[in-house]
This record gives sequence, structure tokens and C-alpha cells, in this order.
Amino acid sequence: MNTQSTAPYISIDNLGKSYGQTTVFEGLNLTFKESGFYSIIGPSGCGKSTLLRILLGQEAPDRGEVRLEGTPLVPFPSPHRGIVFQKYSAMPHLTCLGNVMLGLELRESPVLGRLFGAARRRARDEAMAWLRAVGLDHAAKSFPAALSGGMQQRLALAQSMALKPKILLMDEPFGALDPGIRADMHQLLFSLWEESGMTVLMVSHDLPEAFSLGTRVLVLDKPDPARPAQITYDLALKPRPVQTHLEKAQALAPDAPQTLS
Amino acid sequence: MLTPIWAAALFLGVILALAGGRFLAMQEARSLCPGQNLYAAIEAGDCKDAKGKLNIANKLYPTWGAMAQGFHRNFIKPEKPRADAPQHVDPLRSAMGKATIATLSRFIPGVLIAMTLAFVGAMLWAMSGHSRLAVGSFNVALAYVPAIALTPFFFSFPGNSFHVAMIAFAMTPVILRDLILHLSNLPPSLLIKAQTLHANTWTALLRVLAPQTLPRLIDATRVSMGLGWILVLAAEFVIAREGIGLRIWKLKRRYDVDNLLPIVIWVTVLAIAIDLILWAVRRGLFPWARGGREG
Repeated sequence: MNTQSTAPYISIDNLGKSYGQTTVFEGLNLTFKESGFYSIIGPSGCGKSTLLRILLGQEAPDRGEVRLEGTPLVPFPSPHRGIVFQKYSAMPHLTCLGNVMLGLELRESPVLGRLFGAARRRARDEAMAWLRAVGLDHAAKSFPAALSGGMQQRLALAQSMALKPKILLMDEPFGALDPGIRADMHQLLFSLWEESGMTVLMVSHDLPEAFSLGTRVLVLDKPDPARPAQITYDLALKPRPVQTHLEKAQALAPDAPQTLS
Repeated sequence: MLTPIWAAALFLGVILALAGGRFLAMQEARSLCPGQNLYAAIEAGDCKDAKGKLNIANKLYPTWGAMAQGFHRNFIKPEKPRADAPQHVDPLRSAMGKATIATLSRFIPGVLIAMTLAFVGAMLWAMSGHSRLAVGSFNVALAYVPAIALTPFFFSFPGNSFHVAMIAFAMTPVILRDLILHLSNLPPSLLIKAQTLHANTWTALLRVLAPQTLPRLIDATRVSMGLGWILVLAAEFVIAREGIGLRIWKLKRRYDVDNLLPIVIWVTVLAIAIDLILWAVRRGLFPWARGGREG
């Protein structure tokens, strides 16, 4: 399913970004292939979140260019790029089902932002399938505030994945979870990634997490505040054997309430 | 659960205020007439100052019996008793029954208009991009304009719309100010997330900002409703044929505290009831929004 092409999927050319006197990036060049799982790690303030925000379109680069499949990225967030934040990814006023349906509804209804009748039922079925895939079908009617941290991140994953974005960006998605739940989430994310063939960029603080999930690990460092960030390590990891499938994620779901509550 | 506790707290407050006020007035009268039996001295024609104090104290701190009579006069007995049935009881046709209906018919539309305008204003503010700061600052200035001092301008509104317009003018910028604070404190990630979910400016407003602002609209209305009550009573002081404010205006000059205190309690109870209704609406319509209940 994963089609590994040799041409760069995302290319960052001569990227420069400054905040006032502080230069975060200068002349940064990077390429990412399609369907990879890229972990970006580094100490606080090294620019890894800035890189993610530029890729997301939340911030525009000062110099240089970021291209997706050869086309320059639009300088604002768009549906091509899904995002999972550490917190507050889900809409608090919508149920889990409503949250996953939201993107499907907004995609097809640019004026009312809602679907009705058969179109709505289709969107609901699709959303339910995604909730099942992340093991949240039992909580479809719950609001995010009633969910545990791990369940909220599962919801955020389902919400982003339902739109099948070309790239999934994640900003320390599991940073606020405790270790047991984090391991469950790693397994879920890994199987979803394998299943979908999507390109994933994950910013993380956690070394084992970055190395166990990534097909390539980038280590960013910015030891001198006056100088731009450097890529100190760029490690390609051996592709891991296929170990999990969507079925396994679904099999994981029944005991999710016990382990995640 | 809340109502009996509030009512009990209010009742206790009235008792303490009355008893305390009466005690202090007695102390003051005794200090003006030291070393004598106060009542005997007044009876004998001495201690004129102390007599004056006691007269005012009797007016300001009426007995429960006098207040019960005041309540009966204002709230139970019809304003114009029928000649054939002088003991007839009809609270809706009592002086305060009619005044309450008149005041609520001004207060409720005024508050609803203020809520609507503030909500629309908040949505426009959210869409106003670079002029946000200017719009927000203008609104802050507007919130401090003393509406009651603009009375002559509101005279051009006929009938009850005079009071309604004044309430709406005073409450809208206060509610809007709170909504703007709320909107500017929403996590930016929510709008970014919405953009990655195919939202455009309009659908982000419709499906994300508007629903997340509605519970706060109710909170802000509850908080600023005290302003609305002051305004409706003040507007009725200025001009009204009927209304609670008019009753208070008529009674205040004659030290008619035995009539006034039941009205004060009634207005407070009425305000609490409307507050509780709004709270229940918020809880029923927005189960996802936590908070909204204090104490």
C-alpha cells in the first residue's frame, strides 16, 4: 500500500525564519519522501515547533520556500495537512461523533457547514468507522471534556485521519499522557500510519518514542541563541516489519476503556 | 437547591439589617438623652432631638407587622377594590402585580435585544480582522457611556420602547465586551484545527466560534443583568404610567419603608428567578460547557 517514490514529497529550500533579533532558521534545506514517518526531536527552543508551524502554514517563512509535491505550500492551514496538537485538538462543543463528522460536513457543505439526509447518514457512518478504528465507538455520544487524555488524542487522530490528509503533523501528541497509555497510542498510530500510507511528521520530546515510530529521525539543535538551528543528526532507520493492522487496532478497542479510563 | 438557600440568605440579611439599624438608632437616641428613661422623657416633652431620631427609626426600620400590611396592600389587594367585595383578593390586579407586568414587559425585551446585538457584534468583531482592536476599544468606550444621562435622546422612542432602548443601549456593550474577552482567549489551535478541517471564514464562525460563544453570552447576560435592573427602574423614575420604578419613586419620598421593603425583596427575588432561568437554559442547551454556577 505504501508507495515509496524517489522524488521528494516535501522539500524545504533555503528556509529562513526570524523573530525580531532571533534567527531560528537560516538556509535550511530538507526533503521528505512520501509515506515516511519522520520524527523531529531536540531540546526546547531549538525550532522544532516553528518548523512544524511553517509546514502547517500557521506561520509563513521569511525566506526560502516549502513545497508539497512540487507546489509551494499555501501560507495558511489547509485540509492537505492534518494536525494533532498536544491539547485542545477536539472541539469542546461537539460530541466525539460530531467532532469526526465536522471535517466531512465542512468539506461538502461550504455554506451551511452541515449535511442533511442521506449525505449526513453517509458522513455519520464514515465517522463511526473512524471512531471504531481508534477504539472510541463506545464514546461516540460523549463530549471531549468527559474523555481521558489518551481518549482525547485518539479522537484528535480520528478527526484528522477521517479527511485523509496528505501529511499528518503532530506537535508532541503524546507528551501529556502517562507511559502505559502512550505505548497504546504508539501502537495505534503506527498501525494507522501503515494502513493509510500517509506521510507523518511528529515533533517529540521523547527519544524512545521518536526512534520506535520513525523511519527517519531528525535531531535539531540550537545551542547558541544568536545562531540559527542546526540539524545535528539525520538518521534513516531500517523500515520496521509489518506488525500491526487495522484489525489489530480494532481488537485493541474492547479493552480500551479499562486501560485508558 | 439554590433557590431556598438564596431566599434564606436574603431573609437573614433583611433581619440583620433591620435589627442592626434599629439597635443603632436606639443607641443614638439614648446618647442624646443620657441618664433618663427615654420613653418617659419623651412623654414629658423633653429630649426633642431623641424623639426625632426615634421617629425616623420607626419609619426606617418598620415592624414585621407593618411590612406584612405593606405587602398585603401592594401585592394582594387589587389596586381598585370592587365596591361590592372590599375583601376581594387579586394579586395580578394589585398595585405591584400591574407594576411587575409593566416592568417585565420592558426589561425582558430590553435584555433579549441586548443579547442579540451583543452576539451579532461579537461575531462581527471576530470577522473584523485588522480592525479588531479599534472595534473593541470603541466598544469599551461605549460601555462606559452613562445611558441614563442620554434620556432626552431616548425620548424619541415612543411608549415602552423608551425603556427598552435604554436597557439595550446600556447592556449591549457590557455583554459584548465580555464576549470579545472570551473570543480572544479561545485557544488559537481551535481555529487552526478548523481550517485543516475544510472550514472557511464563514463556516468557522458558524460551526466553531458561534456555538462556543453562546454559553458565554448567557453568563455575560446574567452578570450584567444588575445593570439592566438599575436601568429599567431609573428609566421608570424618568417616565412611566406604571411600573416598579414608578412605585418606588412615589414611595421613597414619604419614608414609606414598610411599603418599600417588600418591593425591594420582590425585585430581588424576581431577578434571582430570571438568573436561574438563564442558568437552566444554559445547562440544558450547552451540556458540554462546564461552569456557569457559582457558590
